[in-house]
Amino acid sequence: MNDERDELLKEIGAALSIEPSPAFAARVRAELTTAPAGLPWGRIAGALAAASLAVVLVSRMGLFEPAAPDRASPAAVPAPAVTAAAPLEIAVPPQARPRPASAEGAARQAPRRAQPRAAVISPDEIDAFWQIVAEVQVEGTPLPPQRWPIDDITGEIAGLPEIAAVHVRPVTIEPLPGAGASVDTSGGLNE
Amino acid sequence: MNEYADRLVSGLVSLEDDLAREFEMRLADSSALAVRVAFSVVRHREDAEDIAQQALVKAYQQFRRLRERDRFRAWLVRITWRLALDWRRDHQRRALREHAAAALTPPVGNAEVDALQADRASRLWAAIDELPDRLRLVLVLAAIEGHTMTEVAALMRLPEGTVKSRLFEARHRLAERLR
Repeated sequence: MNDERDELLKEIGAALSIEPSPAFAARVRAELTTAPAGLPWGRIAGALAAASLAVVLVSRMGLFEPAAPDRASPAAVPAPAVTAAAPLEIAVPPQARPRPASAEGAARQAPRRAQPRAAVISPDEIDAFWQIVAEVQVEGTPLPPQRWPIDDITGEIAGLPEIAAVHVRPVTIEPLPGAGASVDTSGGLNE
Repeated sequence: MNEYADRLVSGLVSLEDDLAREFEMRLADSSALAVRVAFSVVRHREDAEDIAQQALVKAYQQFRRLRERDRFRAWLVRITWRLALDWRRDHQRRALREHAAAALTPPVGNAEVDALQADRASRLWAAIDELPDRLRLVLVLAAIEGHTMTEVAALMRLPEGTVKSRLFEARHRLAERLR
């Protein structure tokens, strides 16, 4: 029985024992010269992962947050001289005020507060960023000089007359006529 | 900077040269295997060579991760088998009927012997075609080039025990069909 089966394998092997034609290897080589090289998907995936990581890190560092008003340099915008005013307090309705949180509530809210804000960056900006980085690394290209609109008008500002201090007189609010008389606001219910 | 760039470029060129040399070695080493695997399915020499050629071109595109000889051959067998099955599905049985007997049994000059051999080959390959894929590929690989069980297991990336049991089942079914 085994001999019979081995004969079968030999028969199949003999039927399949063909050799490629002499021109086969040459045809494969010719095909390889015209076939497009395979994309290095591993490298592409690695580059994308690195770019994603960089974007996440940059967004966590807050570099893409909207710029807050620069409080440290008030001289940038000439402010009129005003008398000191009382701090502005905005009335907040009771239901909008943060409730004193219990321990459980604080635990529930903590992760929500810890979530970073999502940075929305357009693909064009990301491409431009990596293009600049690549050029700086490869070519040694210097970064483009920063040019601000204030540079264009600095000369014009210098020629303007100095702004005089503005004095604001305190406003006195007179009581309304007849405000001293008692006003019945009960709508006659007290009668 | 330029010197560094030159060294980098020459390093990359040398890497490409190494890859090309290695691929040439694999081409010489594995062409026959690919052609035979394809031939076992399509049973037409020129079609088998076309399929093997496609498989080798695909292998070249993946060659950076297929540099090990065993890995390359295993991958090549799989992709050739799949391409050949696709080809056969597209061309169906018409081409098989035309090619099978003539391709597998070279004539010996005696009309009676030739007819007997053609009939035997026709029955044998009809029986092989009826085997499920998992048994058929094991049988073909075991028959080609006198592969051992270990080699077939490496080519199919299967445990040797699995290969043995599949081969046993395939041979048993064939013997039953040809009795």
